[in-house]
Amino acid sequence: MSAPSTSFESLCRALAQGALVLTVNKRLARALRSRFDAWMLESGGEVWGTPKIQGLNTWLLRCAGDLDEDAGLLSESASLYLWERVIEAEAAGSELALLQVPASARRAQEAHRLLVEYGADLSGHPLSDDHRAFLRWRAAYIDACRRGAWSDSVLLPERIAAALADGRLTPPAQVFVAGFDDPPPRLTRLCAALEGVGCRVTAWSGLLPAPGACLRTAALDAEHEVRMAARWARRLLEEDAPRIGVVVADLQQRRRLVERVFREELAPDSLIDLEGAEERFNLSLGSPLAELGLVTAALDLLGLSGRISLDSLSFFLRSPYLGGAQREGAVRARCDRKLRAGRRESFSLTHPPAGIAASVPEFSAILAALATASGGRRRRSLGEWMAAFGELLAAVGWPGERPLGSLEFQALKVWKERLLPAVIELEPVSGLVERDAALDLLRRLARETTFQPETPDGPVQVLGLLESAGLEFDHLWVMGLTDEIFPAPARPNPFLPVPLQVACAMPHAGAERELTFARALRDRLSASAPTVVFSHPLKEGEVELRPSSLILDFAAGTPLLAGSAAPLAVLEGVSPPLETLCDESGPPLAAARAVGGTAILKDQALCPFRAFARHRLAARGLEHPEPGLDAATRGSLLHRVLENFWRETGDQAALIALSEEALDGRIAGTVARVLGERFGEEAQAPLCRIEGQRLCALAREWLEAEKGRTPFVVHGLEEQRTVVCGPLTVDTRIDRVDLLPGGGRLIVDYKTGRVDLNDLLGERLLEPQLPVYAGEESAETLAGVAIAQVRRGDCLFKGVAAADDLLPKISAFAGSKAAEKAGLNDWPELLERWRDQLAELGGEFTRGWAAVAPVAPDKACKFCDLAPLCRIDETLADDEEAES
Amino acid sequence: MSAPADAQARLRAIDPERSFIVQAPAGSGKTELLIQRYLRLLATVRRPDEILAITFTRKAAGEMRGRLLRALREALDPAPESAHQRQTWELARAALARDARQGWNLLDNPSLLAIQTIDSFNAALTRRMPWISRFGAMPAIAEDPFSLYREAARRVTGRLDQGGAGSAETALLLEHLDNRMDTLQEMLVAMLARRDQWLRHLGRVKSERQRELLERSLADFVGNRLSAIKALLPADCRDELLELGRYAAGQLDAEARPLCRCAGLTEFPGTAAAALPDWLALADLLLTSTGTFRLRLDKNGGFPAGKGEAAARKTQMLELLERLRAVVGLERALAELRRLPDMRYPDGQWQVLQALVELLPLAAAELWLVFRQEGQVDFAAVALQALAALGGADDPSELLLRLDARLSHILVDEFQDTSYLQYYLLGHLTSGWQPGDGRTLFVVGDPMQSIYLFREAEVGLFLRARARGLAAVPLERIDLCANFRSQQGIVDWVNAVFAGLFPAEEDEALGGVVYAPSAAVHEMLPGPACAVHPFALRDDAAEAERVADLAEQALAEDAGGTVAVLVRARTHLTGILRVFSARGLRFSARDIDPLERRPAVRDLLALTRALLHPADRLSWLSVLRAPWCGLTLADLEALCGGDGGRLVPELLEDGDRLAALSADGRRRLERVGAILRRARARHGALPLRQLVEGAWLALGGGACCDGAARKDTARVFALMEECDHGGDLLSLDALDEGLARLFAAPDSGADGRLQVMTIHKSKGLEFDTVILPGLGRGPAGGDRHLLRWLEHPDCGLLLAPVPALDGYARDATYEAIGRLEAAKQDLESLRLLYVAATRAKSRLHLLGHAAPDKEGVPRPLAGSLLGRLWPVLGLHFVFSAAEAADQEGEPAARTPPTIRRLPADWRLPLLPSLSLPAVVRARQASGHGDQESRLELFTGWEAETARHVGTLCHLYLERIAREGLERWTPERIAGEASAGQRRLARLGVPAAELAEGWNKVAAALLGALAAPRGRWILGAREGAACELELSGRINGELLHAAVDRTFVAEGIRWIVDYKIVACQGGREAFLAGQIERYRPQLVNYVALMSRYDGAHPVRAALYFPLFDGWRELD
Ligand code: SF4
Repeated sequence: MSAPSTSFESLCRALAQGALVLTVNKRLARALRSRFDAWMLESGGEVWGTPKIQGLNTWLLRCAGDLDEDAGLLSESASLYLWERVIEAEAAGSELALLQVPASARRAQEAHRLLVEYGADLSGHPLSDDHRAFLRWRAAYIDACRRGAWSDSVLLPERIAAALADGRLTPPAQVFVAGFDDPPPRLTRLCAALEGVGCRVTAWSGLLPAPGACLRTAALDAEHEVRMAARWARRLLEEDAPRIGVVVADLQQRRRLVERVFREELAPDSLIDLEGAEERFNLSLGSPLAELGLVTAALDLLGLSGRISLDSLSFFLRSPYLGGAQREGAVRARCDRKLRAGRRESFSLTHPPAGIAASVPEFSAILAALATASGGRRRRSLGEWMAAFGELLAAVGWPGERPLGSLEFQALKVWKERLLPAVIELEPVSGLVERDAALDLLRRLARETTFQPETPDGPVQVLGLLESAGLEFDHLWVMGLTDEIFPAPARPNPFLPVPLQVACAMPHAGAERELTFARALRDRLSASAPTVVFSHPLKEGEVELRPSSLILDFAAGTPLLAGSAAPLAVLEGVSPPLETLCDESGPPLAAARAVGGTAILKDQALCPFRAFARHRLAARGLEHPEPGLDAATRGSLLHRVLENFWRETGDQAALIALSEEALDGRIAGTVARVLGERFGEEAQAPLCRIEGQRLCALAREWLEAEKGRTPFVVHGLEEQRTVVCGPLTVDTRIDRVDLLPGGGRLIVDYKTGRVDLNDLLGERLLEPQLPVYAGEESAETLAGVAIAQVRRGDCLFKGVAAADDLLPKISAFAGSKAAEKAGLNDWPELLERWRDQLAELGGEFTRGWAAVAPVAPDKACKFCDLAPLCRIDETLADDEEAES
Repeated sequence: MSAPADAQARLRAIDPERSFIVQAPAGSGKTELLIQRYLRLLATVRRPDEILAITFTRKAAGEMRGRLLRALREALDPAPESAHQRQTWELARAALARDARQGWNLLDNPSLLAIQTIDSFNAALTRRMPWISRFGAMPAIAEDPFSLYREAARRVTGRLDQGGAGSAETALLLEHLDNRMDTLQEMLVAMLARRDQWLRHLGRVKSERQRELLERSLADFVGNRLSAIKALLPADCRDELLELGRYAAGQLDAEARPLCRCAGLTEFPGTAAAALPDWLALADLLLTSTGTFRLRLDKNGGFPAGKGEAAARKTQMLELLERLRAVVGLERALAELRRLPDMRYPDGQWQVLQALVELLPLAAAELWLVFRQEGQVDFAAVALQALAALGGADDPSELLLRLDARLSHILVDEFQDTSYLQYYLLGHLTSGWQPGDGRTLFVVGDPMQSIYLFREAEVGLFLRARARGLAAVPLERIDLCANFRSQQGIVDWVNAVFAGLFPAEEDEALGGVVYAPSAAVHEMLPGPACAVHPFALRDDAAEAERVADLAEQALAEDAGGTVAVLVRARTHLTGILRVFSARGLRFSARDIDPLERRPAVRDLLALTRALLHPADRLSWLSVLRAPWCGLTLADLEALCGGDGGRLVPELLEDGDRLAALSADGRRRLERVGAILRRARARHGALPLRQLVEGAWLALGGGACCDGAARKDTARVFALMEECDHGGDLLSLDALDEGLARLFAAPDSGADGRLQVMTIHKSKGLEFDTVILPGLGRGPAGGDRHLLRWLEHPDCGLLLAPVPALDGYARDATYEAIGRLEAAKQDLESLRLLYVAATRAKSRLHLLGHAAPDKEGVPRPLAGSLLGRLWPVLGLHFVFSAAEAADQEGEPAARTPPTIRRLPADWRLPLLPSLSLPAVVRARQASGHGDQESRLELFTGWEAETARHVGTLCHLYLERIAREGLERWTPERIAGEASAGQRRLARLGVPAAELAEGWNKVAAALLGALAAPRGRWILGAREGAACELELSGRINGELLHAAVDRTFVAEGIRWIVDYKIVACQGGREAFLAGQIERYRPQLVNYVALMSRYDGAHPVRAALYFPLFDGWRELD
């Protein structure tokens, strides 16, 4: 190869005369082509033959076509897939499944390529299990190629070189190679072959004759660094600078950051219009296609089978990419809220909850279509699967009714024109596969396919270190140059012995090679533009970073930056102070009767705001799915069991009269009935069976406790009353009323949690249900009110009674410790106090009193989801730690 | 500064030939020591990566690397003055000389220095062993592994319904746990998070025979305790004890009590576990039922009242009791006897244990599959696989290959916080090392500062390595004692206090560390070094005020000094931070305030949920109440009151409702409503962050935030990027779950002089003044685990499953292990105090409360740090009654809270986007309009195949023209069938359509070859070219074009464009339609060509080889 040439002028002349330029990638080919066009236009050309500028790989493939050798050529991705199959076949037998097959395949494929390119082999090196595994896979891979009569694209450069040598291919007269920072052996050998048949081969570097003015600058952290570069670019743009390059050493990690910060600084208004407008800079890396909403929805839809979790059901109910998403939108949202209230984690796809069919018929039809789509064990070709997927998607109305925006439209195009063909391309290698395998492949390729929205070839280009090869800029910023990245740590291929890699000087084999490479890269970058800024972040989180020592020789300084145009920076200083407003009361209630029962009073007692928000504004959060049976369901099951039991049994005497077996039998029967009512067929499922056992044991334990009481007759169950509390009228229902021997009545409420008697007797009436119900009774007829705490190992009554011995371990209220603490003398006084308290609460609620004043944070706020609305955190931070 | 007292030891520690274990108490400057040794080693090795340094955190690794590089760089400068610095400088010079000789280029290539955390070392190991480690390639480390654990737990318990492995076990456990599926899953999650500890044990517990083994451990444990008691009992009491026991037993009526057994005791019980009942008999003799030495003796205890022998025996017993009471620890040890585990597992418990032994590995296996699916793992997985990979190497040469480098020297920092897993890893790394073979191990740490029990740190391992070496490597002990950090007053105080509190003897099992005193290098400062501030009752507000006073005072006294408030638990800071804020004290707090509770964060979450879910009424209401909108309660009621059925977005469109609002409310809603509507319409089309951030900015979210709130919201936005699932969330709660593990950003306006943090976070830091509040507060409640286990150095593995959740069950084994854990915890809390106290350079303040008990004597809360210090600090807690009463404060009167909001007329300022210069951009001359390609996208699959068929036809037509018509016979085309189909497949045509596709290609080619028109086009001609690519400017526009075929015939330059479509409908109409469709393209071609070939008139046409169609452009 003759000495590298740098002049673009001479390159253009040669191109005009039909010379061939081979570039490291398509990006450089495109860039050179447009520079050539510009040169042509400048020099007055009107029409010209398009110059021959091609990526090296494209050219090789073309040559293969000319040789008629392209038909059996295994494409890069098909070859990779073959490696995966080979590896999977072996890994299937091992104890622990290989975690990342595709990534292993990539490394193994690379190892294979290295061996071929460097003409190396492993003999003579001591081998580890990893090396041996690779050799096995490689043998299997070569064998598979042979059996399928595929030619391995790794061997292509060799074959082209051979064809050139023996005259089957006519060489071009002159070839330039451009943009190879680290020319691979295949290129070197190809060039030798070309020169061997009389072709003139020249390397073209695209560098300036002398290095530009270089500056080194430090940034606080990665974000600050990107922002400085963006503001620098903005200033240059304001001055109409034509070609601005920003090279990011770790672009892969910083892609999103770069995209966002550049958008903030160059086009802040596009943040707000939400249109996803064209960017004002060109970023060389795209995002994975799979991340786009439209594609995610499609992949998720195709992935459904068997059971559907509440989370994904909810996801589809709100997805805009399904049929009927607009027409049924609001109903779907409501339907989701209802489903969530059931808190179940998942549903069978074939028998979705009945509510769906009734409220959202279109959606229900979609589920039905999805339910029938699963493929079972049937094996088909990838093409057939993709066609089937397409049909299924069409059947569920994908991609929805909303008119597609430009980004969505482009994504759909990539899905169809790049993704699906990429899957089908693997068909010859894959053979027939099951549906899941086909879907996995689709999903994976969707993750690997990058989506780059169309952007104009604007003046600002953001690229990675290697992509910048061969490009020339007027201004260049290179960032991320810490001593950990630049030079990069060695990254030898794990499937080849390291000494072998070092001996062959394979890429990334050792630190020495990386250092040489980094130095060359630095020199190339500093000669790519008349002014170059090198920058490095000082910190990453808590970890301090140091600049690469390779840039220490450049003068330190800060380049000129434009003022930040990011919205938050613009807002700085121009935002008016916030108003403050004391707003503790809503309008009075129009009607005296309120829906919501005693819960209103309870909420009012716990926190007035809560009562207002819940019962006036209907503020409700969405529920979350819970594993197994949630506490509310279990509580209501127990209530039903005890209710049914007492309906059948009637009084304590009947309870005691039952023999052990009869009692157990009756309990078991009741439990079975209750479960059947509640769960239907599912009552036979293991979880329900276990719940049945639990209920039986718990009911039994409770009833044993009831046996020890003074005799009683169960007088009422689930009775409803309408009660007046001050200005407010509420409906209430009570679990049970017992009649005691003297004719006194005992009001009972079951609770499965721990109970605090203070909630009945405290200053604020936190447990108003019993008092509300008691409010209708007189002090003479009412013998007591009690909460029945039904808990394993802790079954007891808590409450207050008019006299001793009415309830186990509860003495007469008058003169009791509780009475003393509450400052009351006797039973009638307590009833009076309750009436006052209830009237007060009712009054507060009717007035609209809505102060954010929780009784005690751990009592009220701990079980309240309204914090975002009441803004309690703004006023005080509570302390949840409880001490024993 | 003169040489420190331990200068000799420090010199010895640099010796590159020997292995050491260094105890480096707080402030002893161990990092410098590590650097010096590293430099010294560098001068001896062949390659720098023969040295491996392992640090505890990434930050520490970064610091060490930084200091090492600085030392190397400074070695290029002239020698420094001070002798101490000079030593480092000389070591660095020697290292540099080595560097130059070996050509390492360390300064340019610092990645050669292997300074890593154990996690990154493990990762590097597995990266080198893709197959052996079964990772394939290093997977990403999950940000939130708990979501993965949850998924695995869900899957494994999901087997309940499916039958098969794990189903019966799940059922059994559910019954055991009161059918609490949520509890079971949570417990499994907790277990999965710690599987690096139990996984290796479970293999041992598979069979019934193992039951024996485990029960033997239990017996050994009992025996171990009995030996301890026996050692405590004064030998000269034994006979008397036996005698009195026999007497007392004889006095009892035939009652079934442990004491009765004394009757048959002829000799003093041994320490085998079987002797436990005898011991219990003795305990019954000595202790009351509550476990204290008997003070009174009566008939029930075997000492009836009476004269003569009865009286004598009684007196004798009382005297004996008196003597035994004086033996420290005896009472507790005897009482503990009653709570020792059973030596057999009750059958029910054994079943549960077996179910766990089955189920837990299944859960771990499910976890692996979850990892596989997500491509993410946790740190434990990396550590486990790295260990397995190293452990699997049977001979040293294989190990060497796997390590891929000769490790000659290993340095480990913070060795006191080593876990079993890391300990084993070090064992593997050093296997085969011989003393004197040039390889050395150097571990540094301070057992007194081991405070990561909750992360499995086992300080006992430090003690073990010091006593017996690490694996095969014997370690020489070096103790540092110089303290370069604190003034003498502090050092003296710490020495005085902790020497008495730390245990007198080392205890590997529980992590008992003996105190090692320090010697101050800095002189005593005037004034008291340490002050105790006692409170009689818990009063967080009063304590907080005092903390603020102390902080203000310290800041004022020393203008450059730093002050740190250190607490055991984050929650202890709540009150203090409130007072700081109220007083305008600015502070930096790291990882203290949970992010999810910040109002700005809540608002942002509500906005996100509202945009994603129209029926999330709470979020919608919150959005309308948030500062950017700030609707009053009255307006909210007017809008949404009494209508829980309709969705808020629907109500926002309801004119009547809007009309009922106040004028101010209407104005606010108009602005906000429009933005919400616009954003909702873009749901899914943009990444979640972009959607929400755009709406948030437009609403004025940014204008409602101060600096700290902006940082907080920035973290939420970052989290949104992480959780994004196609512009939405996979689970609506995903964000909230992610937030739960984040903390608010520190105040950016603080100068860093006042800091608040947990004691754990303060490790390795130093401050002029340290304030330790809340010492009187109790510890957080511990979790119940499915399984408790303990690796006891003397007794082996102790294992017990959780007792049934039925309100009754107790399990002695489970509780006994729990008590051991508690004992470890107790020792650790002392070390925590040591760490806290040694952060101080000049002053230390201790604050805490001890409430009076029934007798009015102040007593610290059990488990509080103050309780640990009580023997020393108790004397400070003397309160007069008045003082105590004084401290009972009145609750403050309520100040009505206010809400904050933007003014109603707020508008977002103009955001200055750049307009860019129009760039010349080449267009494909064949490009369709946007509209047309949009339509094409919705045509079916066939269109794709047709496209590929067209592509292949073009390729073949080009070849035919290039090679010459005569070489292409119908036979040859038939012979191309297989290659042609493969080519179609490569283009992406599905197998099922290959044959048909090829037929079409062949038909086109044959058609062209057969027809005179086709032969005319393809034949050899003047100026002919295929796929001729032209560029040029037409009407000011840059065009690129590829012409299928061009030639000159009869003086005319022809341009032919192939179209591979069949004729649909009438030929004439079809051709007319086609030429119209492609007219713009052909016109462009003609324009380009006529400038390219000025010599001939240019004409263009479409050619349809499938039906020999031809239509010229007119
Ligand atoms: S979170 Fe607390 S303050 Fe807010 S509404 Fe609920 S109970 Fe009241």
